[in-house]
Amino acid sequence: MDAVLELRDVHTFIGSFHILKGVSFAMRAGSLTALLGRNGAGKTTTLRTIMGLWPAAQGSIRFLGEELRGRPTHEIAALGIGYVPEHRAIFRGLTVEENLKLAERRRGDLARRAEWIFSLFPDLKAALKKPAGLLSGGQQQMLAIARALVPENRLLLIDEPSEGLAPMLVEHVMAAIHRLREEVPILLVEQNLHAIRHLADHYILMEDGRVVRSGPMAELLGNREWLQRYLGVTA
Amino acid sequence: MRGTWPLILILFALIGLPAIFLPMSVWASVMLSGLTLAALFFLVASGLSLIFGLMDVINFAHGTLFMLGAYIGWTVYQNPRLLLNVAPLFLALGAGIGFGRVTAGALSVPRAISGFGLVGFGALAFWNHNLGKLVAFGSTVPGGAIPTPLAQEPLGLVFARMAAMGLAGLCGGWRMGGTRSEDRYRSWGMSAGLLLLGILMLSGRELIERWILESPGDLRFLLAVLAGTLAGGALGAWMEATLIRPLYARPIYQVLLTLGLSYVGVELVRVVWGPGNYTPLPRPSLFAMPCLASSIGEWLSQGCASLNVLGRPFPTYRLLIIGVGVAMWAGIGLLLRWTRIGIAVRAAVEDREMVEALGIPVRRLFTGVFAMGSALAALGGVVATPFLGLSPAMGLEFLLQAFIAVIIGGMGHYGGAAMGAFLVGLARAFGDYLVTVGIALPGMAEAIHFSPAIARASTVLIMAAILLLRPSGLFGQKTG
Ligand SMILES: Nc1ncnc2c1ncn2[C@@H]1O[C@H](COP(=O)(O)OP(=O)(O)OP(=O)(O)O)[C@@H](O)[C@H]1O
Ligand SMILES: [Mg+2]
Repeated sequence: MDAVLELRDVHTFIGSFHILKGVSFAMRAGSLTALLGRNGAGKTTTLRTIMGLWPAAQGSIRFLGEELRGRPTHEIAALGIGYVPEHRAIFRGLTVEENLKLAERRRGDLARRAEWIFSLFPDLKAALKKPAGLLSGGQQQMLAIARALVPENRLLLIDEPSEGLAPMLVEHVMAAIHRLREEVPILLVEQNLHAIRHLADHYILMEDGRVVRSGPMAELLGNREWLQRYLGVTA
Repeated sequence: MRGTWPLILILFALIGLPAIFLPMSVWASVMLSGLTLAALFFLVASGLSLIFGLMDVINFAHGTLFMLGAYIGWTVYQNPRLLLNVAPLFLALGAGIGFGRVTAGALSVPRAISGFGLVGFGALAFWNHNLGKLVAFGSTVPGGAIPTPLAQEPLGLVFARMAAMGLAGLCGGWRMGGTRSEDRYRSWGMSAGLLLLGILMLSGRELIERWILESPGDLRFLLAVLAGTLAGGALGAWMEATLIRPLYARPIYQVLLTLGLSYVGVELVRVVWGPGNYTPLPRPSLFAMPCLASSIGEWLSQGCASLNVLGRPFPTYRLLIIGVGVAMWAGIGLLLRWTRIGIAVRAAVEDREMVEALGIPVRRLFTGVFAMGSALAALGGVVATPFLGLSPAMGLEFLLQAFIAVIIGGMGHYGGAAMGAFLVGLARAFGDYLVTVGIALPGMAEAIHFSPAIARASTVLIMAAILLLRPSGLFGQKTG
C-alpha cells in the first residue's frame, strides 16, 4: 500500500504522563486526512510526536519508507514535512517576509513559490514588510500555513487552523487548504467538523490517546451515533 | 516605542544635566571616557544577552572569557613562549577527544578503563611541569631574549606531554560517547587539524617565538587581538558543546556550572600567570607617540598618544576602543538584521521549537552564538589591556557591569544591551568624575566630594530606577 505516513503502536510520555497509548494509522498518498477527537484526545501530541518534538517511547513512525522515531526535529522537517502548529506559532518579532524566508530549505525556495503562495493568500503580499505580530489573527494563520508551503514538502501537518477565527476567515483558510490538497498530502487536525466535511477524504478518530476508528469521511458523516459518541456533535 | 519615557529621563540625567552644569570641555571628555567604558561593557554584555536570549543560559563565566582573552592576547604579544609550549597540550587534548568520540561506537571501551586513562594520562601530562620557567614574563623584550635551553623544557619532553594529553583526550572522548554519523568526517577533519596545528606550533616554537618578538609592535598587537579573540571563541564553543549542552533542561545546574567555571578561570589565571597585576600592553604606533595632537589630522599623521578635545587632552587609544565597540555593535546588528543566520537567531529567541521544526538545527545555532559571544568578550579583553592592564579580578568586575547593562536594556534584547552598556558606561564616567573633582553647587565654598563607593553604586542605582519603572528592562520582553 502506498502509505505516506504510517504510525505503528506509538507511545508517548510527557513527563510521567502516558499520553499516546499505542497510536496506529496509515495515511494514504494523495489524500487529505482529518485527525479528529475531543479535546485532550491526543491529536496535537500525535503531530508533535511525528515531528520529534516529543520523543516516542515505543513504536514506529514511517514517512515514505524512512523511520522518523529517534531523529532530531530538524532532520524530520528536512525530509519534507511542513508543520503548522496550533495557536499560530509564527515569529511575531520577524516581518512576514523574514518568516517566509526562514522556512526556505534551499536558496531561492521563496522566490520560486512566491507567486503561488500569494495567489492563495493575497493578504500576505501586501504585508511583507510588516512585523508578523501586527497581523490580524486570520492573517497570522495564513502566514503559518504559507510558511509550510515555502520549501518543497511532501506532507503537511496542520493543527486546528480554524481555532479562534471568525466564520468568514475560517472559510477563507479552508478554501486555501482545499486548493492545497491537490498538491500535497495533508494530515489536518480540526474540531470544526462543518468546515471540513467536504474537504477530507479520510478520517482518523482518536480517543484517550488511541485511534478508535478510521475510514472514508463519508462513513463517519453518515453515522450519527459515532458523531455523537466520539465528537459530541449532533449532525 | 516601548520604554521610551524612562530612557529619555535617564539619558537627560546622564547627558543633559551634566551638559548644563559642567563646562563643555569637561563634559566632552567625561562623555568620551564614558563611551570607552561603554564599548568594553558592550563587548561583554552583547554576548551575555544573546546567549541568554537564545538559550536561556545565564553565563556567569562570560567575564572570565573577557579576562582570558586579555591574558592570552598579552601573552602572545609579550611572552609567546608560554603559549607555544602550553597550547599544543590543549590542542592535543581537543584532538584526542574528537578521535575518541568518532571511534567510541566501534571500540566500546569500558568506562572504568577510559575514566582511569583520562585521569592518569592527564596527570602524567603535567607531571613535574615547570610553569615558572615559562612565565618569566618581561624577560622577552622585542628583538632580545631568544629562548635558551634552560628557559623551557626540551622539545622531546614537551612532545611526550602532548602525547599524554592526546591519550587523556582519547579516553575522555570514549567516555563521552559517539558522534552522529553525518558529523563523522567533520570530526575527523577537525581533530586532525587540531593535532597538526599543535605539532606545528611545538616543532616551530623557536622560530615562531623569534618571529613574533622581532615583528613590529603593530603586527604583534594584531596577532594578539586575533589570537585572543579566536581563543575566546574556541573556548566558548567547547564550553557550550561539552559542559553546558547536557544541562539545558536543568537551569539551576547551569548556574552552578557557569558560576563554578568563573572561579576556575580566575584560579587558572592565578596558577599560570601569577596573582599579580600586569602593566598595560604597549599601544599600537598610531596611539603611542608622546605628543598632544591639536587636530585629528595631526594625530593620524604623527600617531600622538593624546588628542586635544576642546582644550583637554584625551588618550587616543581610547578612541580605538570606542571604534571597536561601535564596529562590533554595527556588525553584529547587521548580521542579526540581514543574514539568514541572524534571522534564525532572532526567531529562535522567540520560539526554538518552531525554528527546529522548519528544518534548522538549533543546536548548531546555540554553539555558534555561544562561540561568537565568547569571542566578543575576549576581543574586549584584548583591546582593554593597553588601557587597563591585567589582573585576575578584571573578569568579575566587567561581568558585573555587563550584567547591569543587560538588565537595564532588557535580557535577551540586542539593542537593549547596547543601550544598557552606554548608560552604565556614562554613569561610571560621571561617577568617577564626581569622585575625583567633586561638584560645586552655587553659594558653597567647597565642592562636595563623593566616595568611590558611590561612583560604583551609581550604575546599580540606575538599574534599580529602571527596574522600578519597567520591571523587564528598557526593551525587554522576557523576564529572567
Ligand atoms: N505539556 C504537557 N504536559 C502535560 N500534559 C500534557 C501536555 N500537553 C498535553 N498534555 C496532555 O495530553 C493530553 C492530550 O493533549 P493534546 O494537546 O494532544 O490534545 P488535543 O487532542 O490536541 O486537544 P485539543 O483539541 O484541546 O487541542 C491531554 O490530556 C493533555 O492534558
Ligand atoms: Mg490540540
